[in-house]
Amino acid sequence: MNEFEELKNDWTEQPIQGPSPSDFLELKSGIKNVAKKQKITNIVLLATVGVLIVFFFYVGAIEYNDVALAIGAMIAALVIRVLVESLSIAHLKNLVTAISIQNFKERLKKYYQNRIWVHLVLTPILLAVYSFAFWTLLPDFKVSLSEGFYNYIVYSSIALLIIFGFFIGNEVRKELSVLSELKRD
Amino acid sequence: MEEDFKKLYEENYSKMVRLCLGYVSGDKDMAKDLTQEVFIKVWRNFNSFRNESAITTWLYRIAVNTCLMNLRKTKKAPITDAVFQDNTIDTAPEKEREQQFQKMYQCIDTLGPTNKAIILMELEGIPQKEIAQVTGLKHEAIRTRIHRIKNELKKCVNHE
Repeated sequence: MNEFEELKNDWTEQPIQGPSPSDFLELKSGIKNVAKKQKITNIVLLATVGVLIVFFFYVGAIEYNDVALAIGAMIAALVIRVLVESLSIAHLKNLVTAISIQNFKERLKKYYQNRIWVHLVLTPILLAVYSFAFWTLLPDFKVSLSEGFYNYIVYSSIALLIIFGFFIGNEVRKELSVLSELKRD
Repeated sequence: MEEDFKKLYEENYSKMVRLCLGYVSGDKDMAKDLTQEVFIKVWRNFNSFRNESAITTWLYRIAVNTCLMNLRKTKKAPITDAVFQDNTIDTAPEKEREQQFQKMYQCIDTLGPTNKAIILMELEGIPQKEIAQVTGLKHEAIRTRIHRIKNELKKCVNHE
């Protein structure tokens, strides 16, 4: 394949600009930002959990057993899902890359298989718990809220559920396509 | 340590961009972003390099694996892209060469992830023995694969 050999001879002559001093500075700031971003993510996560716990006490849920159980279940479902997602992202970022490609591919395949399990099993279970808990709260909402606001809550929740369903479907599709790409050779 | 890292960065930057181009259909901006991510990982692992393999073997492992980690973010460009349909080839030799590189990158992007790495390292002139160490495949398997990949690429470039 002469054409290939010709191209190979010219391959390293491609017009690619070498790194400028500013590129190196940008890289150094990128290195610093990685640690900073991780800190910010941890703070946001802790703040989210904190806000949910404060909300739990603020609405006085602790005084009513059924309401406490329902709101507690909703908060727990949210916290578990957020934690699983954060741990999953951290796991991918921290995968050891200085290993052979075949070895790394096996680890990546396992990672994506776990992700699909999270999307297809864990997330629907958590979503069902969340929805059921929300549904048990509806009679209380009906009593304490105006009809307009009550209807708004019901319809917007249904809409959110549909949007979330599409979002999960899209995530599963993307991750299945990465998995099949990794299995190609 | 920073000086050693800077030297490694400057000596290998272009090689890494060329490798990453093969995982993003020749998109230069995406390849540069990926290259930056590669060197961030190199910096984070710099202390753990133990001279058990050549520094290039170590570097290529990190680079290819970083590209694999980003498969989810990178989109494949359709093979019927303008590069293949453009029959009004620019007569300027430099432009024509650039179009050939672009065609090659798009054809490389049709390969599986390991074969991509193998052919990109072969084009870079990396010895087959070292390619075997980077991939974790046997030397004999690398030789057979390179032969097969060249045939696939020939068909793709000629649009057969």
